[in-house]
Amino acid sequence: MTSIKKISHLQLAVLLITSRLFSEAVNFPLVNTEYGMQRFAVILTAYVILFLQYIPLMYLTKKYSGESASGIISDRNKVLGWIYAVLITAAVLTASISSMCRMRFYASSTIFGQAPPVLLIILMLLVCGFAAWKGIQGTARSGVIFAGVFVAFLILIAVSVWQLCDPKWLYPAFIEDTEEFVKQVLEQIGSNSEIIFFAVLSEHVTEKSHRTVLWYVPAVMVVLELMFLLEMLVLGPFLGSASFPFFTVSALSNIVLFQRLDGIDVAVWTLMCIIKITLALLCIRTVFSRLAGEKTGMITAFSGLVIIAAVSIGMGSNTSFVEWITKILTSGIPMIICGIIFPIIALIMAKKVKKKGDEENKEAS
Amino acid sequence: MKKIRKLLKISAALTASALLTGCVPHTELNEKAIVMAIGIDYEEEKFNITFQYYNPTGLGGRTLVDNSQPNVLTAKGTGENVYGALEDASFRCGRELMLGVTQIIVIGEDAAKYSVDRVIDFTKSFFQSHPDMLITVAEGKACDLMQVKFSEGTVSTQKLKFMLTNAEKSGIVSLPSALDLFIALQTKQKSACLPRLRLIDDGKSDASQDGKTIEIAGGVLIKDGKAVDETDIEVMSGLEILCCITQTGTVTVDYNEEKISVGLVDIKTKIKPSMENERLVLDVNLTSAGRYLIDPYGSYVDNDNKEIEKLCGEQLISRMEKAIKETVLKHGTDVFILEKTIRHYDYKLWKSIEDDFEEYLKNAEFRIDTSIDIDKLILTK
Repeated sequence: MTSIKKISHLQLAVLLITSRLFSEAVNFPLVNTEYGMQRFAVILTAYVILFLQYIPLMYLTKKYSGESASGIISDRNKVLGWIYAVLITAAVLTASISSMCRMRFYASSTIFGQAPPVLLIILMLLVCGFAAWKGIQGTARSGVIFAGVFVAFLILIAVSVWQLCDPKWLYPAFIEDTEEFVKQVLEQIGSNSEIIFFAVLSEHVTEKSHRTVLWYVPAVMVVLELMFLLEMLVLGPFLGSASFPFFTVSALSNIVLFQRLDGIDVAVWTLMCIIKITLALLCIRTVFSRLAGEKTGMITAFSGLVIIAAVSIGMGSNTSFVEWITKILTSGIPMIICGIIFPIIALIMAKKVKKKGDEENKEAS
Repeated sequence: MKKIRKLLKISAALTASALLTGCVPHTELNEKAIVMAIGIDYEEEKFNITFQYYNPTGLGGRTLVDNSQPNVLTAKGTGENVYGALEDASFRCGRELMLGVTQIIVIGEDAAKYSVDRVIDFTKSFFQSHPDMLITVAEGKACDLMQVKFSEGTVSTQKLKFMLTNAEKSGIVSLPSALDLFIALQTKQKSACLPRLRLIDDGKSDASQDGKTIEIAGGVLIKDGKAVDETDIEVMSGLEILCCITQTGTVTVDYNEEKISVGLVDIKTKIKPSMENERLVLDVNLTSAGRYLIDPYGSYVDNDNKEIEKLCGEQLISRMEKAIKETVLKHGTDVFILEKTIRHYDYKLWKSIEDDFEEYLKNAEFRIDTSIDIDKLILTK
C-alpha cells in the first residue's frame, strides 16, 4: 500500500461523480447531443448496466477491505502487476488527454477566445500536478468543494431560467429508434473511465469502499437526468443543434444580479476537469508506488503529466485526433480490460492465494 | 517560521495571478466596438452589414456617458456570409467586435427572403452573443434603419427595444428572441412570424435629430427558414394570443352605440389536438380576466357583463381566426409551434401526421372558445 493518506467512501464517490459529470457535460460537439425523450431512457439504461459492471469490483472491495484490484494483482504477481499498471496508465492518460483537449476547445470557443491555448493547458495541469503531489486527501477535500459549487450552480441556473421552461417540449416516447438507442447506450457506458479510477483508488478508502459505487452511480444518473431535463425544457429542439447546450442555458439566466451565468459555467467545468486529471495522475502514482516504491510512483505520475501537456498542446487543435482519441474511450475497450477483466483476475488470484495460505497454515498446524 | 512560509506562499500565488494576466492578449473595453444593433442585408449574393456601436464619450462629450450627445456610431461591412461581413466591418471601423450586449438584429427584406436561417447562424459562432436578443425584419433595407439614431435613451437601440417590448406587453406583436427563432427553425415547418419595422422619413419626427423614426408595421411570415409573406398588426396580435406569449391585452367593442375598452389580464390559451374524419382538429380554449378601461354608461347599476364578455370574446376569436387563416391555412406554416402541442398531447397522432404535416395544417379545423370574466372596479363610483 502507498503512503497516500486515506479518504472515506463518500469522498471517493464525490470525486468520481465530479469527474464523470465533467466528461458528460463537455462531451460535445464531438458527440452530438440528441434532442428527444430517448435520452432519458438512454441515461437510465446505461447507468443500470454500468452498475452491473461494477459488481466484480464491489465484490472485491467488500471481501478485501482496504484493497484494490491493482494492489492485489501487484502483490500476487509482479509481471501481471506491471502489465496492469501499464494498461491503467495508458487508459487514464488517454482519458486525460481527451478531457484536456475537449476542455481547451470548450474554453477557447466560449469565453477564453483570446487566451493562448498553451496557457490554458499549462495552468490547469500545474494545479493537477500540485494536487497529485499533495495526495488524494487534499484532492478529495477540493472535490467536495467543487461538487458543492456545481450543485449551487445547477440550482441557480434552474431557478434563474425557470420562466423559460416549457413542459410541452416533453412527450411520451422513450425509445423512438431502437438501433440509435442501443448505440447511444453503448457510447454512454463505453466512455466511463471512472471504473478504472475506482479499481485503483479503492485502496485509499478507509472502510466500506464498495459503498462508493452505491452513491456514485445513482447520483450521476440523477444529476444527468436533471441536467438534460433542464436543457430540454428550455431549449426544446434547439438542443440538438446547440454546440454547448448547458452553456446556452446558463447564458439565458436573467434574474436580478444573476445575469449571464455562462462565465461561471466555464469556471465550474474547469474545476471539475482538474479533478478528473488529478484522479488519473493519482492512479498512475498509486499503481507504480505499489510496484516500485513511492519515488517511482511520483516520477511516473509527473511523466504522465508531461505527456498530457505535450500531447494536448501539440495535437489538441487537431479535431480528428481528439475525435480519434475519444473514440478509443467510447469503444469501451480500456474500461472493459482495466475495469472488469483485470478486477475479475484479481478476485481469482486473491482467492487462490488465500486458499494456498489456508492450506499452508493447516499443514503447519 | 511556518507563518513566514505561509505568507511567502500566499504572496507568491497572488503575484503569479497578477502577473499571469499579462500573458493573455487582451483588448481594453474602450478599444472594442460594443455592438448594440446589427442590420443585415443581402444584395447580389453578398451580405452587407451595418451595425450601431456604442461610443462611450459621445460626439465631443467630455464625460464617459454624455447623454446630450448621440452615443452610437455606425460601421459597415460586406462579405460572402454574415461572419465575413462582420469581420470586414470590424476591419473598417478599426475595432474588435463585442456582441455580448447586442440587443436587436434587423434583417433586411431581401435577406429574409433569401434565408433567415443563414442570416442568424453567425450568432452561434459568437458565443458571447446573447440568445435573448430580439430579431426583426425591415421593410426594405436594414441599413436604412440602422442610420436612424434616436435621441431618447442612453443609446439609440434602447428606444427601439422599448418600442418592441411595449408592443409585446400590450398584446400587439409577438416578439421572438434569437433563441425562440432558433427553436422555431428546428421544427418541421421552420416557421415564425417576426415583427416588421418601417422607416418613416418625412423629416417631421422629433425622435431623432434628422427627423426620421421607425414604426412597427406588422409582421413577416417565415416558412422553411425564408420570408414568404407579410402580415398586418391584427394578425400579429392574434398570433400572440394563440402562442400564449402575452398575458395582457386590450379589446375595444361596440356596445349600445358606445366604444367600450376592456383590459385583458391573465390571458391563457390552451390548444388540444385531435383527429376527426381524417382532418386535424384543434380545440382552442382561451380564458381571461378583464377590467373596464372605458366603462359602459350606467354600468354600476347594471351588473350584467355577459353581453360585453361575449363581444370581447367574439373580437378575440375574429383576431385569432384571421391569424390562423393568413398563416396556417394559407401557407401551411406552424407559427404557434403546433408540432410541440400535438406531440405533447398525442404522440401517436403526431407520428401519423408527421410526414404530411403541412397538408394537415392547411386543412386543419380550429374550434375556438373563449371565456372572459370581467371584474368590475367600482371604487370610484
